[in-house]
Amino acid sequence: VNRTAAPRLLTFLVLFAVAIEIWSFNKAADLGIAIVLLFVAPGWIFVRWTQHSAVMSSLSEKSYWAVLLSVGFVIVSGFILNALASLTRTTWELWSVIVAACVVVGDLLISTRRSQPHQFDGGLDPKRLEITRTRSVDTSSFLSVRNVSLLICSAILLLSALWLSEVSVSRNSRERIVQLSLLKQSAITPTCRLEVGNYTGSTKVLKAQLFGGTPNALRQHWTLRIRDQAQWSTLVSCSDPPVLATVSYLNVSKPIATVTFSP
Amino acid sequence: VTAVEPPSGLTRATFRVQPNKHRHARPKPSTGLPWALLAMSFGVLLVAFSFALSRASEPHANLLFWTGQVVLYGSPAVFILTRHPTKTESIVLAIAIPVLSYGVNQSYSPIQFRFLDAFQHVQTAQAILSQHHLFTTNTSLPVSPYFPGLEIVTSALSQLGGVSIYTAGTIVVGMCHVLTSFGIFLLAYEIWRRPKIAVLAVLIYSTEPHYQFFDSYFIYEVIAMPFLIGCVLALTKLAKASSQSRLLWSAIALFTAFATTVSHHITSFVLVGFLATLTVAQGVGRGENRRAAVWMGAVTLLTVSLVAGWDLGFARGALQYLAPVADSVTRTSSSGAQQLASGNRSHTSGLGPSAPKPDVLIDYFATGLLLLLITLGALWGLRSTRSRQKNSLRRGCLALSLSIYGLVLLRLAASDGSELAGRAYAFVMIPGAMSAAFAMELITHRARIAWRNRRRSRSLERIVAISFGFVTIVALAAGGITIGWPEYYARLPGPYLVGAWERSIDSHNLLAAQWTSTNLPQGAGVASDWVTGGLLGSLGHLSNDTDTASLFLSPKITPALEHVIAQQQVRYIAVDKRITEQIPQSGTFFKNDPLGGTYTSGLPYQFINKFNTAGISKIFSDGTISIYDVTNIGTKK
Repeated sequence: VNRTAAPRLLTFLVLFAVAIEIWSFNKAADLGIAIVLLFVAPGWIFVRWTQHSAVMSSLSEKSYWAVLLSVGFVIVSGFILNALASLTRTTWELWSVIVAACVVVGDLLISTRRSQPHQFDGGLDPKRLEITRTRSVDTSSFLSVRNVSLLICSAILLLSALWLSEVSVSRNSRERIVQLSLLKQSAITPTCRLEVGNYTGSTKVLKAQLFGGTPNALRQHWTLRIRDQAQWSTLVSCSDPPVLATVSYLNVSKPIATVTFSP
Repeated sequence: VTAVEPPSGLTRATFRVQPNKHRHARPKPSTGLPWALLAMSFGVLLVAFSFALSRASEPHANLLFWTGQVVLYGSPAVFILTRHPTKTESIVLAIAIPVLSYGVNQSYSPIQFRFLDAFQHVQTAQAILSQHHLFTTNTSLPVSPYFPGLEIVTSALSQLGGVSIYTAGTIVVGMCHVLTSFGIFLLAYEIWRRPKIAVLAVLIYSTEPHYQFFDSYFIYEVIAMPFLIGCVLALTKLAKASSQSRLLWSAIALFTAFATTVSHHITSFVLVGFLATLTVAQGVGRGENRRAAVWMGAVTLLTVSLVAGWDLGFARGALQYLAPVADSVTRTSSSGAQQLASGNRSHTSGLGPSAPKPDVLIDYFATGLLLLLITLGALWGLRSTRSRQKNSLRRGCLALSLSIYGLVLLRLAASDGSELAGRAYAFVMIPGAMSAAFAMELITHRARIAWRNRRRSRSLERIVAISFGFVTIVALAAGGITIGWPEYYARLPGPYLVGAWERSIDSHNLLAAQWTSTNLPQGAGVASDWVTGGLLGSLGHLSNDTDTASLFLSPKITPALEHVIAQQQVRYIAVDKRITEQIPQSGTFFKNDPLGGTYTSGLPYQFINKFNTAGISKIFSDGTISIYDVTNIGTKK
């Protein structure tokens, strides 16, 4: 009973995962389930299948092959999906349902094969028994309270390093950028699109000016309030070239950027 | 039974060891591993702290960086060489090493890719996500869509997991990094059957120059590496398998060979070399060895046809892409060899003439040490396995490790040998790390035996073993860091530097590339400095030509420049004004820069100001980067 309970539970979990994946109610859950479906499930069924012939001796080796073959399977699936349909979220979801179905069917077939009499005298493979015994002694002695506490401390240190880096990058590596562009819209009409983008990290009040004919002839000007990561754009006439546009903070004599249209 | 088990490959008769009084007692599991892991994590924290200091331009960041690296590499070395790690402990460490080294990588750039080549693969992944099909066009790296392993997996995770390409790519690359290292552990364990040698091989492999950064970037080689190792592992399993299991391992080997082939060209060529060498080594044996060699030969032949079929048939662009690289190696190697022979070569280190002196010294020492260890490992290993049929794979592996000499020659002879050799280290060090690990284990073992036979103090013996392991691994790691990636000028993150790879990627050029991708026609020609041009070519979806340096190296727009614009089909010129303010850290401002290596200051301002003239529209500016539309000049010709 114990030998079949775990695989069946896993099968159930995989099916549950597929259901949640399709429902897509939570981003973090989505990612976790996607990782299991893509990088564990396909290889896991293959490893379970080979378990009968005992070609992979340890749990670590089985895990390695399960993940590696899963990644390989995803690559091959990518080629197949590309040839048969397309690589969209829907086709990958369909793919995950097929994988889950294969896991269920494979699990049933393997369980049936397992129920047949063992080929070893005494009912157990002595080699595998020894491996299991050694592993359990080895692992249990490793997992003491002190060791687990130290491992948790190690994980905390690693996470602290990542957190520190993220904070440091967001504080020091952010450049305050205002973009200005002036692009001709079509070859026929003399119309240009003037665009200002704010990437300064906060909402800014900016002044845009448009000059035509000569640089001193101010044609239009705008006072803009633009949120961070947002753009403002407008269509302007480019019929009197050269056209020059500037963007600045409140002091228009010190422009941040200048663009020109000079056909 | 001896108190200390002899390293694999040596007969027990070699040793004269005092009998162990507690021969039947189960060895107590060592308790040092959690402390070693804690120390390693502390090392990562120190490195992350040094990065934070460097970003804030605070002093002492460099000192803290090196301290962190010493702790990161030294603590596992001490643990492995002073204890007898059990298999479980070895497995935990073999997984912890790549996880923690990936922590260093992520601490360097935790919120975005920073390596230029990564953005080329981002473009392929973007194309898959937007067009829902493979084999799209890539304006920056045309060969990339024909090796879409990385992008298929990333786009699948991105779509199913609902995350960005960056998040999905970071997860995929991290997983591949762990798979590569753990694959080396399993491979070394399969060949040596000793967890200590296997985990030591992983640790030595982690000192390889590109391990921490280049081999953990979002580039196609990264996903091919675990499959290469998986294929070699399957082949070694095949060699030892019973006749019933051979078909299974052959199928696994071919499956992983296919995944390697469709993921990265060079890795698949290396895979063929590995498979052929191991098959020949196995074929030298007799009886069962020969029968296994037949299966291995079949797998190798099928892999060769797979690689040839893909690279010569389907992905024909691969050869066009690789031809200039091969040509460059041949050309620069012959000229470099002549320079070396005549004594005219200004530098014999692979680091280049501008590298700091301490880096060059560390490089020499580490390369010499690595060569010594690999040579000793190979010689001792080959001698001890000469008469043993069952060790034919070990022989093949040891023979492969000697390819390190070719790599060192390449570094010395070719002018761009440092970069090429750095990339080749990832492959050569797979057998090389095993050979070096074998040598280290043998040296410590022999020293221990000699020490005990002279009845010296055990504590002193321990100190000597710790010192040997610590110094060796830390020296190898320091050598790897100095000749590896990022280059010395970008080793620590910080403010923008011109021509400095990771330090040249900032919001200015990233946002400019984002702007061009949405506002300019895809594939239009652009000329710029090599970093901004590279970004505009990849993220910006423009076509960045290599022979446009002359456009930036004169004060006026001459007919000759107009000719270059027309000939290279340049429609846009992107100018980063910082090229007038700083010298390029890498020695060059542009691709194929005719003045490369001679700059003593930034370019004169009039060299870039010449584009502010009638007939040229300045269509974009953020005050630092300006993009000019030179279509009129191009069509005028």
